Amino acid sequence: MNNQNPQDAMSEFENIQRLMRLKRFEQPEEGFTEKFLKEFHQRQREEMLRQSSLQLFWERASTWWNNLMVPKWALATATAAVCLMSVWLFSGEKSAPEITTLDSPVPEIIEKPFIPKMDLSELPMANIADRNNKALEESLLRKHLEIRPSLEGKVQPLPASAEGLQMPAASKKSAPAQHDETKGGLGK
Amino acid sequence: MQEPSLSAPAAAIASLNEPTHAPNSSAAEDRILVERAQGGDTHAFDDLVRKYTPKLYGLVYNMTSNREDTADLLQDVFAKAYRSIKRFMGKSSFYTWIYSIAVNMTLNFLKKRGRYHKVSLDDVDTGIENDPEFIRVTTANTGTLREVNIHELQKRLNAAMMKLSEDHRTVVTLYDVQGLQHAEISKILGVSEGTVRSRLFYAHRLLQTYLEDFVK
Repeated sequence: MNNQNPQDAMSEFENIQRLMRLKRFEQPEEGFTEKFLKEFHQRQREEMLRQSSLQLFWERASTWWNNLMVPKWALATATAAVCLMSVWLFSGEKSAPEITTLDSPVPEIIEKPFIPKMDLSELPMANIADRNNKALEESLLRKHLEIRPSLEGKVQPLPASAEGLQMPAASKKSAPAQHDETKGGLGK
Repeated sequence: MQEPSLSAPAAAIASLNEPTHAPNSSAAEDRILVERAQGGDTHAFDDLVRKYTPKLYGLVYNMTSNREDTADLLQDVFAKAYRSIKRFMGKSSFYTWIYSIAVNMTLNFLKKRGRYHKVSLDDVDTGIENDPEFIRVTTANTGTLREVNIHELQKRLNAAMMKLSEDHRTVVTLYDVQGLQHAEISKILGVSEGTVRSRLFYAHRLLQTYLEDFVK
């Protein structure tokens, strides 16, 4: 076709066009248009009827509902009962154990310092006054009597020189032990 | 569409050489009918259906090659037009508007059908071979057409058409079969005139290959 004369190519194109124009004779059979129109009308009517039947159904349903002879108080009671039931159902659902999700923040636990409850009566010196311990009482009294004279000034004052450091026999007993560094032992 | 009655074979050949354009005189008539239909006059819409059924039949049939599909599609096309007639503003002619609906619906149908349907040559029109007008034109057109069986010719034409892509087939149908001008086709398809010419050129080249023994 590429080596063809342009005029030949053009005439071939025209021939093609002529051939294709023959197809315009492919027309529907006689009476097709009227038959087609009848069918078209029928389809339109069916579509309208389909729409109107739906409307009719809706109208009848609403009329039936309106004409339903239900007293108003019964309707109100039924409504209230339904409301109560729904409330009860919802509350029942809430009482069920809730499943905590990880989305909720974990509550903080405040740690308080541990303070053990001590029973002071168990301490060794706690009930010392209550104890009927004669020996202890006597020792405490003896201590008191030893200390008391010195507190009242009955103890002789110490001499100024170190050579006169001699205590009386009575006072020797009652004087507290003093450490004599020169003798290297306890002074008695 | 009523074809002009041909008194002589020469006249028939001459008529085939010139495409038939949409008559401008009918545009005014269409406008009146549309206005009446928009006002609720169903008889006016019936007149539009009567007027456009043969034209649209040729369009849809040549795109689908099936009579039943054509009839069903035309019902859908006119039903859609009836529902949308009140929204038709008259910016284009009714002719262009209804053709656009028909072309778009047919192309959508072909896309759906193409998934599972293979057109067989049994689908071709078997009534045309008895059409006296067709016989007269084909037998008179001895200059270009070889003496072939008319039925065979029709089969070959349909087979060649079905080998074309949907876009090419649409353009050939609108230009060669329906006789519309490039400008009208571009409006109907919503493409430029250049695209129409380009598609037509490639479609003709393909048809030339498919119908080589008829055109040489």
